[in-house]
Amino acid sequence: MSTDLTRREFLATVAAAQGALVVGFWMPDRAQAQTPVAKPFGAVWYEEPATPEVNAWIVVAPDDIVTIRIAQTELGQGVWTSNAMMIAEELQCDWAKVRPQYASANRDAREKAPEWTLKVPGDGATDPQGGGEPTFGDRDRTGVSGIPDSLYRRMRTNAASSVKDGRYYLQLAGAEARERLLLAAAGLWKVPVTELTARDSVITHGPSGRTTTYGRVAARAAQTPHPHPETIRIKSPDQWTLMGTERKSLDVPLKVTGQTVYGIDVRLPGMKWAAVKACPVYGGDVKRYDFAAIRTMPGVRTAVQFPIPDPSCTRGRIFSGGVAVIADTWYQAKTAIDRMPIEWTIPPDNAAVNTAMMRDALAAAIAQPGRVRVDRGDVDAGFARAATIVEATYSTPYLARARMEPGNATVLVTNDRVDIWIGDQSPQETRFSASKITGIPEENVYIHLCHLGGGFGRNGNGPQAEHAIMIANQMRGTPVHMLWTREEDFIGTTYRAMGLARLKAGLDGEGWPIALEVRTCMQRDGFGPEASFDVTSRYHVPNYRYSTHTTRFHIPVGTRRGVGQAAHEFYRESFMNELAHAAGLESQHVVEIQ
Amino acid sequence: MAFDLTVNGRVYRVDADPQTPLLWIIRDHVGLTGTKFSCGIGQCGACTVHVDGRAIRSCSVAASTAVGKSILTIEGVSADGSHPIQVAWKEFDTPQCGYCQSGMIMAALALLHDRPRPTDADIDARVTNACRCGTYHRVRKAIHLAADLMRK
Repeated sequence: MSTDLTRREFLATVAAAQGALVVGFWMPDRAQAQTPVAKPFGAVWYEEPATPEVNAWIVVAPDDIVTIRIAQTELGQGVWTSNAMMIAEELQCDWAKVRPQYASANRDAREKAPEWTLKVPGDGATDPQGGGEPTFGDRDRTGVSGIPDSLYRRMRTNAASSVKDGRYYLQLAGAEARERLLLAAAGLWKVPVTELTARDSVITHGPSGRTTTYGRVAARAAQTPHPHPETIRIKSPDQWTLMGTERKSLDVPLKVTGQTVYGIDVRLPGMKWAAVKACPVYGGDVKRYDFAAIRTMPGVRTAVQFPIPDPSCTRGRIFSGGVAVIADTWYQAKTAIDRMPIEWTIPPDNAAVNTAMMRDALAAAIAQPGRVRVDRGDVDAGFARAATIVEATYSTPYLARARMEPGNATVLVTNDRVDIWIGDQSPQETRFSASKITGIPEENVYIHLCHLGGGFGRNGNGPQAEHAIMIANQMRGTPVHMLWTREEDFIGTTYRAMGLARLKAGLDGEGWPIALEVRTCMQRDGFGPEASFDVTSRYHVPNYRYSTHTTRFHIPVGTRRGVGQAAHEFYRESFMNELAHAAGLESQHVVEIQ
Repeated sequence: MAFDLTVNGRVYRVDADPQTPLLWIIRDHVGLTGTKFSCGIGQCGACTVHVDGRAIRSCSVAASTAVGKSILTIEGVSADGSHPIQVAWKEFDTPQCGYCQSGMIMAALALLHDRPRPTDADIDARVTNACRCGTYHRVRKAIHLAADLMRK
C-alpha cells in the first residue's frame, strides 16, 4: 500500500468502530501483520476526500459522523476536545458523533482564510459577543502569532490561547456549516429556511414535522456556498448548550489502550532510524567523526553530519551542530553512535562558562542600575523611617522542559516534496524550516501532526524538526525517523533562564512593610527581556521600587510556560513569608490586597 | 539471532540481538508501540510492562531475560478499554498528554494483583512512575476505583 505514499497525506484521525474509538493511522505492513491489536488506518487527503467537506473545518459523512479539523496540537491540554466543542456548539450536531482530526498545515500554505472569518466584531478575547482575535503580525514566520490570512491562521499551540483566540472563528465555522446544512434541507424540501430547526444533527421542518439528518444533506450543503456568510452571528453565552459543560476528553480512550499515535510511534515503509549526537556545548559543531570505526556494526547504514540549525528556523537561538548514525533500528543506531569517535569544534568562550561564573555575572548585573519598572512613593525615605530592615536573595536555576516524549520527527524528502510526521506546536514554523533547509517551496511541505508526549513550546521542544529535516535532506527518498536520547533531549531543549532576585523591605514598628525594593535579573533572551519579567506586585506597599537587570549567556532560553512568572512568584511569595515571620505572623495571615 | 517472545499471549519470532532492551524489541520488532521510551535508564517508568506478572522497566532489561516468560503490555490489558483499570482511568479522564499512562497503568495493575485493596502508602511505594503533566492525584483516584471495580 505504500507505493503511492508521496501522493497522499496521512493524517491521524479517529474513526468510529462499534462505538469504540480507534485511531486511524498508517502502520507498516510488517508490524500490522504482527500486531494482535488491529490498527486500522485512514488515508485522508484533503484534495481527494471520499466525502466532500462543508467547510475547511467540518466534514459530515452520510452516517452523520462529523469530522472536525483541529489546527492546534493535543499535548494533554485537551484541545482536541475544546476546539471540537466550540465548533460543535454552533453546528448543533450530535456530540457523540464528533471525531477530531488534525488540520493540514500544507493546505494552510495553499489556501487563504475565508473572508467571513476575518472580520471579528467585539472587543477581543474577553468580549463574549466578539471572541478572541490574536494580534496577527505581518507574515513573519518567526513571530508567535500565526499567519493573518492563511486558512487556519494561527496553528501555534502556545500561550494558553487556543480557546480564547480561536473561539470566534471556530464558532463561526460551526455556524456557517449549520446554516448551509439548513439551506440544503430547505432547498430539498422547497420550504423557507426560517421554518427549519437543527438539533443533534437532525433537521426538523416545524410545520410538517418532517425530519432529515445532517448526513443526508451534507453533500448538497458542500456544493452550495452560503449566499451571505457575513450575516452569520455566533451564539451569545446564554445560548450555549455544549460550551461551558464538562465533557470527557475525546482521546482518553486511546490513551488507556496504548493506541494514541505520538511522533515516536510513526512507522513508514523503508524507514531508517537516526540516533544523533549534537555538540554538548551550544554553538559548537562537529570537527570530524570516524564512521569507519562503526561501519560493520549490526544494522548500521551510514552517518550524516548536520550544521548548527539556521537561526531563522529557531527564532534566533543558537543550538549545536551534530552527527547522526542511520541504522535499521533505533537501538542499533544509538548503540553505534555511542561507540563512534567524534571530535568537536567547541567555542572556547562558551565552554569556559560554568554555573559559578553565571551566578557571579547575575550578581554583578543586579548590582548595576537596572531598568526601573515601578517607582512609587519614596522608597529611600521609607527605609530611613523603618524600624526593621529585612533583606533576601533568591536564585533559580536553569530548568529544562523535560517532556516525557524525547524529541523526534520522521521526515521523507524527495526532489519536489517534504513529508514530516511530528508532534509539533507550530507547524507553520516547521513548514518554513523545511522549505529553508530543502529549498522546496512551503506549498509542497506536508506536515502530518501527531499527539505530543508533553509540550512546552515549539522552541522549548527544541530543533527536533530541523535536525530530522537536515538529516533526511541528505538521504532523499528514504524516510528517516530521528529520535533523541533523553540526554540529547536536554541538549536540544531551550531552558528557562537562570535568575537572581534581591529583595529589601523596611517594616514599621508594628511589622507592616512601608518600603519595598525588588531587583530581579535574568538572562536576556531571544524575544526581549520585557517578556521575562513580571512587573506586577500583588501586595500594596506604599513605597515600592522594582527594577529589572539583564545579562547575556550563550544558553538558548525560552518561556517554559509562564515566562519569568514562576521564578518571580517564588521570589515574591517567599519574601512575603519572610516578612510575616519577621513581624511575628503566620504566613497565612498575609493577604493579597492588589 | 532469532528467539521467541510471548507477548500478550502470542508468540513472536524475533530476529535481533537478545541483549537489546526488551522495550525496543516490543516497539520495533513485535510492533506494539503503546509501551513508551522516555528516560532510557529505568527511572521514569514510561516503559513499564509485566514479565510473569511483575512490573518491570523494559528499557533497562535485556530481552533475553524475558524468553520463556509471559510478557503483558498495555495492548494486552484489553484492546477496547473494557478492563476495569481502563474503565477507572477513563472515569476520571486521568491522562493528560498520556505518554506516561501506559506505564502508569501497568504499574498500577501489578500493584492491584498483589494488593487488591491498596492504601495510599501502597500506591506511593509501588507506582513510582513520573508524569510530567502531574496527573498523580487522578491516578490515585483511578487506582482506588479500579480496586473497587476489580473486586466486583
